Amino acid sequence: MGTRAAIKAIASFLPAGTLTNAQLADELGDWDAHEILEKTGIAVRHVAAPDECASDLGVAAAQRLFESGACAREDIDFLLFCTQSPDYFLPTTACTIQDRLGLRTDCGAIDFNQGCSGFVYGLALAKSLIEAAAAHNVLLITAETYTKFIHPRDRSVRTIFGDGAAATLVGPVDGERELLGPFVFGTDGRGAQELIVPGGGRRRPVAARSVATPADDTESGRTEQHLYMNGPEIFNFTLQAVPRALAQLLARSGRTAADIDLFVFHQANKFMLERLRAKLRIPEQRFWIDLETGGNTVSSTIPMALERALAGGRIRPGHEVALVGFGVGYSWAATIMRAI
Amino acid sequence: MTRQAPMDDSAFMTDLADVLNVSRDELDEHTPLTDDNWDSLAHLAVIAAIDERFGVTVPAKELTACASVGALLSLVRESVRGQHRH
Repeated sequence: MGTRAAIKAIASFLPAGTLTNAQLADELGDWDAHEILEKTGIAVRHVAAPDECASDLGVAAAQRLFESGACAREDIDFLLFCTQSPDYFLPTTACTIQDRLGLRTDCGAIDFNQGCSGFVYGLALAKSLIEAAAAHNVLLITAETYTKFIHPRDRSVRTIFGDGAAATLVGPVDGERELLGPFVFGTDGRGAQELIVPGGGRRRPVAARSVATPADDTESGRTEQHLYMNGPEIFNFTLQAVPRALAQLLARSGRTAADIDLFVFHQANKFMLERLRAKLRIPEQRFWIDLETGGNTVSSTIPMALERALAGGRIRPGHEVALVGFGVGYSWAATIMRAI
Repeated sequence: MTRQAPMDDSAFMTDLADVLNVSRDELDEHTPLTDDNWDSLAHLAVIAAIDERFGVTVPAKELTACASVGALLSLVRESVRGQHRH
């Protein structure tokens, strides 16, 4: 009998600090709290404390996973850590997390840098490791602290992004039936400049000048050390790439949209999701939109949605759920998970 | 393609009036796009309408720089022509 990889458990974590619409309306002046909720679908974003890093959020999510009894920490033999806000250039953050979580020392551990498509990429890596018998139980942690990249006056990103992490256990199930897959991947690096933190890496190291000089003449206050998002261009990209990726996924899996019990896309913002749903003609009851608590947590929006949908009975054993991640890179990835 | 029907923009103009918060009768090529009505949310809504009505994308930088409804319509026409050639 063969072995198939499946999602076995998910636990997420949001930092204690929050940013509400009332606070944003107060700070930004001309927007009222209700309007922000209406447009973004977000009531509250969680914000990591100054000394709280992606690793801390990821460790807290993994601790919740172990406390739930889903598996013992000694069962984990591979750790995948997805972030774009690592603690250090080096060492690999996953190595420090192995120690903090008390995982075995014969456990593999790597970081990978991917944003909104990161969770689906992580599932593909985990599945490959398990079905190739290179690992048994893979702990996939997605964690991000984008708020540290955001200038307080840059409303285009401040209203949308929040910090958070999710820990997902991917493990083996005996049988022939595929429980994760097929996968569709996509990359278009021409969009690299449209969603970017230009400074702070080795190409444009932090220098006194770059920290003090505004990146443009808008009121965003942004310097090259801050997150820049070209919202309209990202929207253009999304309207083209996501329908194409979904069509490829359905064709490759031999399914139609009617066979899919629930569509869980990266929770970018409510407006974008509603437009995608309309374009794809997916009925409301089979399309997940839930950003109210937490906002856009980048690579963690899909596992957080799955955790809530599983807990609320919206996803039940046997259900087939289409996942699509898309954004920074540009990068996108899609798959189908069958709930066990 | 040798011949193309003129672009039917009536549905799009109705969408645009909706986004800019004016009645359809008030909207014509001379209607200005200003800081008051042409903000980031309007940009997204118009990108969605262009995608829905014409099935094309318009470069965001050029779209956000449009100063009148006429300029926006020219840009859309150009994109429709350009993308049908491909």
